[in-house]
Amino acid sequence: MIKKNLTKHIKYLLLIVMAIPFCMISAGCHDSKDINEKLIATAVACDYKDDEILFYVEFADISKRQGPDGGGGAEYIFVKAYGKTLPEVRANLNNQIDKPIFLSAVRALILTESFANEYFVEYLYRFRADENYRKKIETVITMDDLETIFSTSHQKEESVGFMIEGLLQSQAELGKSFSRNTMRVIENASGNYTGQLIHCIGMQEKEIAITGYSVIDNNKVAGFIPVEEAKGVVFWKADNPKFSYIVPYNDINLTIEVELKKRKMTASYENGQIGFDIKMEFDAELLYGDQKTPYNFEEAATKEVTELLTEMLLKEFYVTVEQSLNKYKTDYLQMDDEFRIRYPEAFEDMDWKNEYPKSEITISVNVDLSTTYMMDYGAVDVK
Amino acid sequence: MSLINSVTNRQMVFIIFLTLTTYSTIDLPKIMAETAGRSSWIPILIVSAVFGVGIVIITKLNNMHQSKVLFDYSQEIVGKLFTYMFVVFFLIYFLIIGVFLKLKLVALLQSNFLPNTPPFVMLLFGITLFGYVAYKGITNIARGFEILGISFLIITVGICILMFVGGMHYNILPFYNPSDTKKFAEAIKEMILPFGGIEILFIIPFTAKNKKASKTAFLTLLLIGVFYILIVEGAIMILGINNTIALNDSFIEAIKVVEMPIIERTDVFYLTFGLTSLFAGMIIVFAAVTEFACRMFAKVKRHIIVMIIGVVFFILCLFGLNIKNFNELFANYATIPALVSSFLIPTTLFTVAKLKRRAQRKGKVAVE
Repeated sequence: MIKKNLTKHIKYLLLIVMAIPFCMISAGCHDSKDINEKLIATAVACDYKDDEILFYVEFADISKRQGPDGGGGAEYIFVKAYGKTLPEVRANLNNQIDKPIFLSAVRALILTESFANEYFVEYLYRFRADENYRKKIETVITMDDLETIFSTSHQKEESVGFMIEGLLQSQAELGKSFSRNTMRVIENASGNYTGQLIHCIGMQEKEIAITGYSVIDNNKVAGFIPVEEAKGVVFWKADNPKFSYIVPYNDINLTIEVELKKRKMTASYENGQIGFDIKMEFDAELLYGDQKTPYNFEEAATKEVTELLTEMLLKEFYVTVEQSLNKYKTDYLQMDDEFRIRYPEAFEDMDWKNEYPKSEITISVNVDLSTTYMMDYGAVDVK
Repeated sequence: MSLINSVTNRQMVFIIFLTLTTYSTIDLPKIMAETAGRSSWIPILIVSAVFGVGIVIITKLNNMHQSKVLFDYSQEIVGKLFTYMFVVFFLIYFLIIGVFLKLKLVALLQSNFLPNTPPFVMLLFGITLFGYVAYKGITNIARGFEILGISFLIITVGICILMFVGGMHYNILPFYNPSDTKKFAEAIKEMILPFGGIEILFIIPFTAKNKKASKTAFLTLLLIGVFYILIVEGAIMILGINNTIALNDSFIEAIKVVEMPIIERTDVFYLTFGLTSLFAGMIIVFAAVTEFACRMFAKVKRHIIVMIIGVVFFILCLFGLNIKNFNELFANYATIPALVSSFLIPTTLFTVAKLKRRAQRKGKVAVE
């Protein structure tokens, strides 16, 4: 009996011992902050002008738009801060705001070319070290004035951060661009070879748009490929690239949608000569012509159009390679990965920056063209 | 309370799995990327096979002395003095591991969930909870581990599969780079701690149910090796080799980048299950200390022993909190005790036991 009572007491004692720390743990939340009491950052932009670093941070002010039910959108504002060093600018930024910053909602990191040329690696490492940032945000470069970008978007009540994120993701999903989150950018910037492409955004009229791709070499901006000239690059790098081509054939301009089906790269290394054999296979679909819809396209005509399209694609790829090898002398096509995988030891011993421009690249293209099968439901009598 | 508990082979699998994977999952990718790079899978498999041999020896010993634990059969094999030396060694060893794990847990909770809660409160709460579970005995722990182990395994492997789907294959290629070979020795040394913990079987008395324990345990070790490979390769695929080296909690950072349907904060989702593994590790360590202490001080009641161990843990953890670079110190000095407990003691006991048995048989034949 006494033993039973003792066990019971011990159980109560254990319960109390467990309950006290639980209350104390809960007490740890006493200084937690409501999200309304924080400034929710949605974009961070950095510029470098007149020997000074400028930070622009876009905030979503959700308190101003809250309806009686607590729902509603957000109003976007931006705060600008100056300084000589990155920590100094951040300290100055903190001096201008009345609430702590919530960085986990940042969607995009925007760097001007001048800033990227000076602080590209330092800023990215700073980003990586800060655990408050989501690491899958987008990083873009711009040649436009940051203040114009922010004020134009905010006038339309749009967030620059969300706009850039949506733009890049939707373009990648449509096969018009490639995706590259900030962690991948940092990975490239940290490797032995640092050549890469970063999306370049700018204002087109009053809209934010992808204007092209900035060529990064040795962690500095070395060039720019406009979006109109970047089809070859996108075919090279994107997951499911798809573009429309206009092929002139017998006085008709045929619009053909071309989708990459297979991309195979084989690296070779013989007698010190780096080589790449690239094989690309495409599915093409004849959509329409500009004068007469080409019904009953004959086999011979299909063959001719296929040849014309293959030639166009080949020419585009050779221009892409030529640009990378000779104009920018930068391996933003990421051929280094293919070579490293095949010849890891040789790659470790070589200076890829010097060796890559000397490499020989052969490309072969195979196109499978088909015509569109459409069913006109209106023409069928449903009984 | 005497040790009359037993576990099934399946429960044993989850005890080994959760004990070994306690904290290793979080910083293993960084450690391996630093040492063996993209060829990490080779040292991981080598160490898993070597520790597999170690666990076979322990299970064989346990099966040679069914219904007994180390404290009991060690006295028969090497006598009281050595037994007490072994048990004191294991007591200190598990106490230090327990302190290390608790400090890791506090750091993890503080950085991810409870930034404002004082560490001593978390320690108090944790030690009380783990002490209570340890008090319940190994059979109850084993039952709990079955559930925890399955959920932890499914979630972690599921996340690794998502990493493989969303990651870049070229980040993990080539699978073997000859220049990494010279770093294998260092990688193998680093892998000792993630595989340390097999000695936990010394607190489990085997029964007739555990006849095939040796084979099961060996396969478990190989599977843990594969599990570690999945974690390392998955993190490298997502982050890239340079980011994996740069980030301390690389597996968590990789999870943050993984796209998962419905769940936005994949890291918090994982930590909810990942913490169960850490809890499991601490429960089993607490149980190990309790079982050894109960054997040493057979006259003292189990709940008193549990309370004393709890107080000792709490005091040691408070000291640990004030030691700078405790984790580095632990990582530097724990390798040798881990090898002693996983290989030296079991091999010594096994060899002596075998020799004694042979001598006994010879003696019998001579008498006949």
